[in-house]
Amino acid sequence: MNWEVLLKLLPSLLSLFGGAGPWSLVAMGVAALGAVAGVAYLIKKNNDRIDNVERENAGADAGNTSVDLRQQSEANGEWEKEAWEKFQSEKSVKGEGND
Amino acid sequence: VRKTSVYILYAFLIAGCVTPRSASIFGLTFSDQAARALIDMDCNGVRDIYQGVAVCEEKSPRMADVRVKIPPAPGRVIFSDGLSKKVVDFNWRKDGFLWWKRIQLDRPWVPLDIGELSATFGEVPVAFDVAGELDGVGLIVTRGLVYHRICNDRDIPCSRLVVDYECSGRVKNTGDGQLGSCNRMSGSMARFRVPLKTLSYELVTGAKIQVRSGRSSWTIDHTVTDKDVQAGEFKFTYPQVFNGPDLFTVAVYQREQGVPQRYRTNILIVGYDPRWTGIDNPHWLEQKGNIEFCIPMQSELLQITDMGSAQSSSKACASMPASGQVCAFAWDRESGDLTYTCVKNGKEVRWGGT
Repeated sequence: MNWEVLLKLLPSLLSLFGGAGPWSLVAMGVAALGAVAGVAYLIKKNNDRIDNVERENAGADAGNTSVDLRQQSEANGEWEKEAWEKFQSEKSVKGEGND
Repeated sequence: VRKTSVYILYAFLIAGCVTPRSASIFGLTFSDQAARALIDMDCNGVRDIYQGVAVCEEKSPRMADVRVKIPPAPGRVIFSDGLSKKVVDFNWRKDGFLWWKRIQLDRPWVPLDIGELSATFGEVPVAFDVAGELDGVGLIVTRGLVYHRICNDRDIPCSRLVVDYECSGRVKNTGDGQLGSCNRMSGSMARFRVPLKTLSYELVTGAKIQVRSGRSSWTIDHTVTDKDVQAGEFKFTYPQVFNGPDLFTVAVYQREQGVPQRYRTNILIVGYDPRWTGIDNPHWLEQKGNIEFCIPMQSELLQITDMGSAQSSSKACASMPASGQVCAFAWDRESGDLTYTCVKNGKEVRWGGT
């Protein structure tokens, strides 16, 4: 079927919607079903898109949080190490600790 | 025709595959949500269930044994140690006709393969997201953190310092080989207390107390005074807890008989956005041989039978025959929360065991 044939059939197809016979009712039913299916398809497509974005967000959250925590852990470790070395190198002051 | 199309639309909605998503109405991201996932972890030979945050310090490297609770829906656990990221899929779907797909509930807990990571001395921070996906509902994500530390008392000191700290209205404390953790709301201040005299050590005048927040680089450098010794404690306040993890290191240095000594610990505070609201577990009552699970508001139910089949319900109550173990999950997509209640022989039990 090419476009020319379709264009020739179009007035006859459209006339079905304007009539009152059983075929008009069937045509309207098919059109309504198509509309519902179209809306359902669009909603599903949008839902899939949102789910995909959230799936990526969930993965990103795990990565960002663990990197953040690792950086904190390493920074605190360096800070603690420096403080301990500094304390060890300091001379004992009278009255400090139990000495 | 109008009536038919309404019925068809209703059928689509019941089939649960075209309900429009309404996520992010509060503008909350996953990182703002409270860490609520259940964690089953072995620490020093003792297995325990933690919610949201699990911390552990051990003195010898070994294979880590950490499992996380998953929802009875298809999904995956994404976990990362800050160096690599791994994914474990669970409860895969078996394709059926059109939208009628069957979920294969293969397990209630997923082990996190961090064994190799904890085979070295030092800290292993792990963050994970459990993402379960249900038709008609979308993705429900729960989060959690595990902070594992292996010390040797040489270059990596073991934790012995006692620090009391407020956590969501309760006072918790660190101790010998015991790190601290807290899952709480962000925005307000956090109070800490270092007792100067404990069963294993005594801090005296001149001892140095140092505190550092990993998140904000906020520090305290305090030298213990006679006044502190008289009071028997040193108190400090962290002005504002942020969203997300904040690792505190508290260290004390003093000389004992001329020898430098140190006492230290870590406290992992995980803040969540004040806008976040969790949900309660499904409530239940037994009536005429049936268990009726009910939720009052703002969530949906997922019924689980002992045989492993799952059926979602958006009703306030769901009734199931009280044979064997029956469970109901409640979830709230907006808050990203997921809770459950299981009943067996008239008593609440854990789903899938521990």
